[in-house]
This record gives sequence, C-alpha cells and structure tokens, in this order.
Amino acid sequence: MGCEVVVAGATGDELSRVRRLFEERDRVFSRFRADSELRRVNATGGPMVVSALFARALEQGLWASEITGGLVDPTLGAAIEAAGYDRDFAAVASSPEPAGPAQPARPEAVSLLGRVLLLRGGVKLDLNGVVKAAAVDDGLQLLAGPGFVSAGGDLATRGEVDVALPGGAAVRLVSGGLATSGRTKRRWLRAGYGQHHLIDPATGRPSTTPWEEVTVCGASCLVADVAAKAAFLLGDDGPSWLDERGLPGRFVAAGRRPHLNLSWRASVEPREPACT
Amino acid sequence: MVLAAVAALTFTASAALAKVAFPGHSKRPIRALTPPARFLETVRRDELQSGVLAPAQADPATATAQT
Repeated sequence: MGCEVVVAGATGDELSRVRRLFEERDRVFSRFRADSELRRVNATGGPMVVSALFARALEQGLWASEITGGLVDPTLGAAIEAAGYDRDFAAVASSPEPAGPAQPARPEAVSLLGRVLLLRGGVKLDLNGVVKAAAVDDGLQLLAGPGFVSAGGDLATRGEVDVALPGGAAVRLVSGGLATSGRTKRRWLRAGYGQHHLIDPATGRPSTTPWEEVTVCGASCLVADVAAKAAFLLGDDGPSWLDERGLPGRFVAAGRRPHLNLSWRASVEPREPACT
Repeated sequence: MVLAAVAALTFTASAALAKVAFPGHSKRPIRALTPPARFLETVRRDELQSGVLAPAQADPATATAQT
C-alpha cells in the first residue's frame, strides 16, 4: 500500500496473518499493480462480478460518500490520475506539463447489487479513502490481546497508546482509531501549480483547503479516516462539522498553531474542578 | 343430568369466549417496545461515532505510535 505498517502486541503467528492481510489488500486494491482487481474493474466498466472483498470495500466507499454528503467519494480515480498521481508515489515527479482535465466525482455512475457491479460513463474507482483504514481495523481483529495496528500513521488500538501528532505534540488514544489526512507527504507540481492526492469531489481538482494536516479520533480507524478526509476538504467548516458529530479533531495549517475543535479540547485538556 | 351437561358446556364455551373477547389482558406474547433491530442497525451504521482520547502520558518524543 506504499506505507509503513506497524503492529504492536502481536504474536509471531498474528504478525504473519496481519502481513498477509495487507498484502492481499494491496493485490486487490492497488491502482498501480497491473494484476489488481481494481485495475481490472476500472478497465472493464461493467457489468461484472467482483470479489466479496471488493464489494465490501466499495460498499464502505459508498457509505463514506453518503455519510459525508459526498465529500469522501470512491469515484475519483480519474481525477487523481489527472492531477499526476498515476503511478506509485515514489515514481511521481514534478513536471512542467499541466494537470489533466478536472474529473468531478460521479457516485451516481456506480451500481452495486451484491457482487454485481456496473460502472457507467467511464468512471474510475479509487478506494484508498477506505481500504487502508479498513485494513487497519481488520488487522486489529487478528490480535487476540491488547495492541495496535498502524498503516501510514492511521491506527486502531485495543488498549491505551500514546501517539505522536503532526507538529510535535502527543495524545493518548484510549480506544478506537486515530487518522491523519493531509497534503504534506504526497505533493508535487504540475506546470508550477501544487498538486496533492486529496481531491475536492465538486471540482475534481486537489482541494484548496487551508489545512496541511487534519487528525481525527473515531470509534474505528475507518470512521477516523473518513472523518479526517471530510474535515480536511471542508476547510474552515471542518472543525464545526466534526463537533456536530462529537468527533475530536486537530487541524494544522502552515505557520499557525494547531487548532483543536471543541470535542478534542474536551477530551484532552485538564478540566476545572467542580465547586464544592 | 342433561341439564348439568348443558350447563357445563355453556360454562366452558362462555369461559373460552371471555378469554378471547375480554380486553383486559394480553392475548399474545408480550413484546418489548424497542425499535426494530434493522432500524437500530441502520442508525448505528449511519453514525460517525467517536473514539476516546486522553492527555498523553509519555513525552511526544517517546510516544509509541505516530500519526
């Protein structure tokens, strides 16, 4: 999946099972492997029968789109390729060539009934908005005892763990998941214009949000990651959007102190003692 | 004898009819007034639920994980 996977608290056998899980998810959902199911699906269009694993991930992607009002969308495969992320990130380089045409999200072009999938109008799927986080959650289920699984900095825990945050602070994750979405790690230039991998579904272009990194705590890594992406894309409305849902969020913008939404502050700041 | 039999029969029929018709008690097994399971599942699935955070105990430089 192009990221570091860290597992704590696993036995040797459990670690092997987690490794196989991530390898399988990469084989199925990679945008770059020629033999991945995702590549076959995007090339076929439909109708086609997909694997149960693929159908489940697409259901999660469609759920993410529904729960975020379309912000986190699984139909942005063409958009991210147009921005220049059309190969493994290690091979992506800045270029004087301009980015390709904008490709807004088209969730209405996807029809999934059980394992039968139909993609209309040449839409391309990109399920990385849910696959990595779901793999983290599934990996944690392979551990019998306390521990955590982290992939690319998105993690889920069973038992308390102190987590270093962007910018040098730390927080204790007591239960659930913690995920950070941002544009500091995966960015490049096209014709002098900055590009990154978090696409605004309305414009089909990399988001122009003021945030560099957004960290969210959720009941699972999947919830945290979906919410982090949505809050990132919402820009100045991100903190309140999370607060309306009771989700702690930490927002980092260039040259500014991290902004903590109300839910985050209520979780981690010392409380005033009650008057007696 | 005949009168007794008719009386017994009438009483039995009346008792059965009263049990069915009398509105004062439940005629069917009682069910709790909880939402249907499918509704609960839908609500839970549609919610973005939070995890639990707390102040870090370790120094950021020694935290055991990084996001």
